[in-house]
Amino acid sequence: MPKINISRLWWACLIAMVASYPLSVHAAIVMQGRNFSAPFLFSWLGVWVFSLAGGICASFVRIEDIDNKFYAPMFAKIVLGLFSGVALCSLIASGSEPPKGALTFWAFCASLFSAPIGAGALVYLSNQDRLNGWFNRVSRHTIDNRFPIDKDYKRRSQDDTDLR
Amino acid sequence: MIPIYVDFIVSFAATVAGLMVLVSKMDVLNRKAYTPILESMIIFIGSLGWSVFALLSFAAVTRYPPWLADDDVWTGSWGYTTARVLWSVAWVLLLLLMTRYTAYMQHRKQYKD
Repeated sequence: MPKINISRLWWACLIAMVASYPLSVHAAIVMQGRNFSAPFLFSWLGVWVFSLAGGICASFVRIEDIDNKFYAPMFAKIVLGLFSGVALCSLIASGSEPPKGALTFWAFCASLFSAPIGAGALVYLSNQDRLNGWFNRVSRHTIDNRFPIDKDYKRRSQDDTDLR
Repeated sequence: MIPIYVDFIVSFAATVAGLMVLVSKMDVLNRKAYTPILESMIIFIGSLGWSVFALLSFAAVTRYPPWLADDDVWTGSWGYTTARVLWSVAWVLLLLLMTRYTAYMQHRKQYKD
């Protein structure tokens, strides 16, 4: 394990900044010259901010079947809420010109409702026991002889509330 | 009475009803109570859909967002409104059903054999 030298790290940072300066200038020029479409406009800032706020508010929703499966449930709900809210708003406004207050308010509602929907869908579809149940319903024996389908999900617990 | 007003009232009330059921009956904000996943997902999806209708009818009532401000003012039609009212009746029945089923699942989780 090589020992990290802080002063060398500073030098490396400085060299990287100097080397990437022309690149950043070029990127700024390209950004200014280009017309972006609907969700990436400055007038959509309200939609972005309020869908972020809706995601933050949705992170207070506590459904233990969901939250026990996620690694970072609050962060996951914030991210899901932000992007699903903005996506739904651009779908509703059909990518047209500046939205006003109604859409900004609805961004909050959309991300508030759709963050738990997205998280719940991820959890619901990523349960291997449930998938095995579905597969077993389709083919009772095996899909392939080398890969027998797990049937232990029937014996694992008497309480099937988390398997539905 | 213009039908779009009825549209807006019905869809807004349906959205709020879904929220109230989620908070008061399904205990989504309560850390200690168990919330069944599938039932709450159904209510979340339904509330999202009703909020879309509420937004669109609000935009048509106020003609505020420019992307909906047409010269010919859309005042709704009684056919759409009738369908929406029927859907709202179905939504209320679904809310009652999910409330009942949630109570059953919570009881079962609490007193499992």
